[in-house]
Amino acid sequence: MEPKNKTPSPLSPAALQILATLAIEDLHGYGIIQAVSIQSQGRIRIGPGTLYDNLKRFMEHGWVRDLQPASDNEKRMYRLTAAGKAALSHEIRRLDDLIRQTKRYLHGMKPRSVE
Amino acid sequence: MTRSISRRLYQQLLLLYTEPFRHEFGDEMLGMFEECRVAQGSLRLLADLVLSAAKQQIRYLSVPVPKCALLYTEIASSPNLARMLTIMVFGAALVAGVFRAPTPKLSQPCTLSRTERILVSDNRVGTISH
Repeated sequence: MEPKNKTPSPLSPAALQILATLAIEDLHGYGIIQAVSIQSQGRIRIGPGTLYDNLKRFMEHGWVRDLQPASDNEKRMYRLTAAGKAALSHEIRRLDDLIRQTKRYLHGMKPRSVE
Repeated sequence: MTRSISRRLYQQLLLLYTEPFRHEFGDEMLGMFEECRVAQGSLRLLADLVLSAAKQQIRYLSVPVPKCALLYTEIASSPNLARMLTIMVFGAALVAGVFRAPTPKLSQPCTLSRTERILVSDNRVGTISH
C-alpha cells in the first residue's frame, strides 16, 4: 500500500502510546496492549478496537508494518518503520516544546490582576 | 454477561467494520477478546469495538470516490454503518407507527338489508330493484 504523505498531528494519547511501545521492540497485538498498560502505569488501557483502528491507520501511513508469522502457531508482529520513528520524534518534539513553553509561562509570568 | 454470549456478541459486532478491515484484523481481534476480557471486562471491550467501528466507517465514507468509479456500483459485502443506521431508524419509525395507529371504527351501523349485502358481496349492486 502506498504510504500517505500527510502527517496527522497531534496524535491521540492511545496512538502516541502505541508508537512509543513499538519504538522499543516489535510486538504482537496483545503485547502492545499489555505494554501500553505497563508504560502508562495503568492509566491508559486500550481495547482491540482502538488498537487495530490505530494500527490500520499507521500501516496506511507507512509508519508500521506487519511481520507475517512463519507458522500458524505464531502471532503476527508489528514493527515501527523509519517513517514511523520520524513521526514519533516529530510528535515528541512538539510535546516537548509545549511543555517547555508552558513551564516558562507558569513559573515566569505573574497573574494580570496583581499588576 | 456470560463468556459465550459476550464472545458471540463480539463476533457479531465485528460485522460493523468494513469488509477489508474485518478481513485483515477480524480473527486477531476475536482471538484477543478472550485475553483482554479478564482484565478489561466484556462491556468495555464491546463499547471499544462499537466506537472504533464507527470511526472506521466515517473514515471509509469520507474517502472520495475516484472519478473512474462512477460507472460502476460496488456491492458491499458487509452492512455499512450508514445503511444499518438508516434501517434502524426506519424500523423504529415503522414500529412506532404500528403501535400508535388508531384502529378504524365504524361510526354508523350498516343500514343495508340482507339482500343488498348479498348483492354487494356478489358485485351485482347495479341490479338491485325494490
